[in-house]
Amino acid sequence: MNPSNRNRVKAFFDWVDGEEWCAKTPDEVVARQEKKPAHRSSNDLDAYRRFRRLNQAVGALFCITLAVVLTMVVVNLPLFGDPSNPTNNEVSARYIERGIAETGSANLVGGMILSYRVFDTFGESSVLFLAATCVTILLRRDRKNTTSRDLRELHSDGLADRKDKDIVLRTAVLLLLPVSVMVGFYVMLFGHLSPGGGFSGGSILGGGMILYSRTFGSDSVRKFFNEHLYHLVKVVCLMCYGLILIYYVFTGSNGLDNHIWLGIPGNIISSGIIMPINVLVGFEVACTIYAFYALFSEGEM
Amino acid sequence: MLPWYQHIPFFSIVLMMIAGIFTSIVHRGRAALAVHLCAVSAVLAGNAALFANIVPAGETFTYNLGIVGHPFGNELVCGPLEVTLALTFLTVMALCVLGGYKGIFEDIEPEKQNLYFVMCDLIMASLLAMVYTNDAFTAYVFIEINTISACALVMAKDSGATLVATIRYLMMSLLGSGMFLMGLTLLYHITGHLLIIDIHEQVVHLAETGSYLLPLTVVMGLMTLGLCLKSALFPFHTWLPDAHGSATTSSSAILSGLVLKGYIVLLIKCIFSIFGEHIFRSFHVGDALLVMGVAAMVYGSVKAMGETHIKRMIAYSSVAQIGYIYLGFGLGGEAAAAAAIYQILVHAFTKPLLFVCAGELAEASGHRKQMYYLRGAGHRAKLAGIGFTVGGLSMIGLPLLGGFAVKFFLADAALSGSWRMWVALGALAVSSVLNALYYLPAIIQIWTIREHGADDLPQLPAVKPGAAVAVSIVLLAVGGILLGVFCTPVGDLISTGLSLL
Amino acid sequence: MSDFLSTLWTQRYMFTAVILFCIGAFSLVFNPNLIKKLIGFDLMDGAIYMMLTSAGYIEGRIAPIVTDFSATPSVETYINPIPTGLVLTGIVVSVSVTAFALALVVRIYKKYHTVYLDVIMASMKKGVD
Repeated sequence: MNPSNRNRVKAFFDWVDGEEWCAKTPDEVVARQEKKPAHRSSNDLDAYRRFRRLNQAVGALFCITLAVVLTMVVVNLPLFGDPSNPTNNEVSARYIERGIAETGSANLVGGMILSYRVFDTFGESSVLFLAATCVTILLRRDRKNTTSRDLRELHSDGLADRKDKDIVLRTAVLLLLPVSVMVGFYVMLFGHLSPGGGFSGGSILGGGMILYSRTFGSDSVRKFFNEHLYHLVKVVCLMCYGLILIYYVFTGSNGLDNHIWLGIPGNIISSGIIMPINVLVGFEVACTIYAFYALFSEGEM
Repeated sequence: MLPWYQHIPFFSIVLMMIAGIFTSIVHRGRAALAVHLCAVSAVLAGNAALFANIVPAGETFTYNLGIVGHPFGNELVCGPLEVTLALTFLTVMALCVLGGYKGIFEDIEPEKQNLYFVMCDLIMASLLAMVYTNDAFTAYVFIEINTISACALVMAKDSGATLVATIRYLMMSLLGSGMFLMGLTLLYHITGHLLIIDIHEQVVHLAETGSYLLPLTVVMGLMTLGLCLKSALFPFHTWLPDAHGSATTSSSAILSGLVLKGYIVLLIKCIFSIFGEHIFRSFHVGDALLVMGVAAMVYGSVKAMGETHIKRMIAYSSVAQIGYIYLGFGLGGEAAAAAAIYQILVHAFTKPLLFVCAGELAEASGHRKQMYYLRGAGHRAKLAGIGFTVGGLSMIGLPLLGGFAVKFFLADAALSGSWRMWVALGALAVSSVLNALYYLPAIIQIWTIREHGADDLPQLPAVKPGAAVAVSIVLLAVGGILLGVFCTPVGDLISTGLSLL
Repeated sequence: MSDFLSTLWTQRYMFTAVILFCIGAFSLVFNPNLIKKLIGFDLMDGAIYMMLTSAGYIEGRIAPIVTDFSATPSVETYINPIPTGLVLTGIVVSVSVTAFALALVVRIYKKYHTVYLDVIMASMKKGVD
């Protein structure tokens, strides 16, 4: 066997033994990665940008094709607003005709998502809880994600801590805030009688708290709402919702009478489990929305 | 009153969610780990009892979530296949967390360790929900829960690389969810139902009358494409090596072993329950899946051969193994689909075994993950070395191990004589050789004793695995071996379950 | 051709939704700026909710809020309540995901001082482990 063949055989056996690629130190690996053929530009970013332009051209072509295909689909779908569509079937008929009798809610949509499809809504509340937890993992200040520069900026600005100096803003917010809180509670409590419900009402409440915090400083909100209360409200509301869900589904699946008093439709104390769930969800959403604001602006509540 | 075991699917899902919600106020990391393991054990016991009750009789039941049944309310469905998948996922989740717990407590800030276990609880809840659901919109809500918590698992380690890997994973995942939801919306437009059984009735009716054929084809394509994007089928796998390779050990194990499989379980429900196999096959979507699966098998292995970072190598191997599952779906027929589901079970045990052992070997080499530093690590961490060897040999396809059973079933199902047989057999052959070409050198390397003082590496002491890691490695390896030895009974169980779907 | 255009005009809401979906998807995948990717995602999800809501509308009927409790509500009076309920769930999911993604972008910006993904990937290319 001539020398070059012997080298190749040895190289093959070395490779199977892992000698070739395991024998390289990390520095050698980096050097091998950085060594580029002569015809390519030495600038990584330029190469990326050129690749990006070709990529975008191909992507635009793909998206235009998708748009054309979906337009053809849209033309072949059942017509908009047609009463004889497949979607207007016995399911929606039942929700409309027996919605009030079975759920007690005048808002048929709210009744549907909080009794016929209560499991999906519990999943949705968990998504909100999950997002708040993830934002906490990312943005809550700890020694790993805060540099000394961040701390200096936070203390020197003090924008978040101090009252805003503008008298027009402060007076306007003082006038607007009670209205906002009241509207928030109204939307939450009347979720079964008019459009609204826990999610919208909670967002309005959360918005009111953000407005107050921005104008009067986050210390003013900390007087009545701190991190401890946030965790308590969040967990208690979701656990109560979970327990109501378990009771409702357990009695329903077994065919047992769940003894939930539906009340007179149209009254505020009616609709069985729907109003309590709206209130619980509303508080949880308000806390979450304020927590998003606090974590993004300061990193803590 | 329903039989007591019929309540178990619903209570499993809700118990895991409540455990997750409760863990957010448990402050100490170890207490949160204890809560997580207790919840998973309780649910595992319940599902084992359910398995014992319904599998001998081959029973399937649906469970109303509320006061009204189908088609008006929400439902769960449970049969032998669903229970088997749930048991596998629960066992693997507990073992992944046990195997990687040291990494969790080292890599994550102490105040945020309990939040990691919140994510693990919610991933488990969403996996159980995706296995048991009988409603397409509930599946979408739990897909979103799975996406967010899986991204949180990647970024828990909080370094630059993991943050960028997370955002790339999130973007691709959101595109997949968007496509799935668009497909679901169009499906609702043409069928008017959200429960899977009712959608299937309407789809059969539409296929017979020939109305709305173009929307039906596009819906199939969109939903399949959305789920393929999320389960990292080639060419949508670009986020996987970074995400799985840079995360902490238990995160990589959970992501590779479980999260990818949840979306594939939903794809099974789409193909078999929503559209029905004949209709799916008649629209040639299966052929596209076959081609992409074969490409994944080859490409994943080729890229793995060039990797020197052990976790990235295992991550590229995941890309190849997912290709096997799509090969099974692309071949068509119940036997091939049963083989694909068998691969789900085997990969769920083998890939976390590889990741946990790689984590232990890296720890025994001074926390460095380059193959150069792992030389001889098998002697320093013997149990991890043995586990890695068993896992690698299973991937290559040694008989008596799980990987061989998968390849055997796939080859058996492919013998139909059409062009697909040649493609499948060729792909299996090439992929097995390529798998051997990177797993064998790695196995040889970790058992090669370094000459004393031969290089600049300091002599490292042997590392004893803790009890938890030892239990995890042993049980994962035993699971893989049992799936290889008892391939016929498990295969029959899957076929029965699939026919009842 | 005029038939096609008149159908397209009847389906105008769904057609707009489809166009917005494609624009959003393009931005999500191919725009290097992370914030613009998120705007694309929001656009894409908003388009899907528009598509879903348009499934429920029926010509000549009103929103499903019952005000007259004397008689059983008739199917002829109200639009289909199901798609609206699904959109309510979807909007909350979309908001949650956007918040999470924006927190990620904030952390990435703090670390790499840029929101352009291609610049970040180019600067990361040299990292080993």
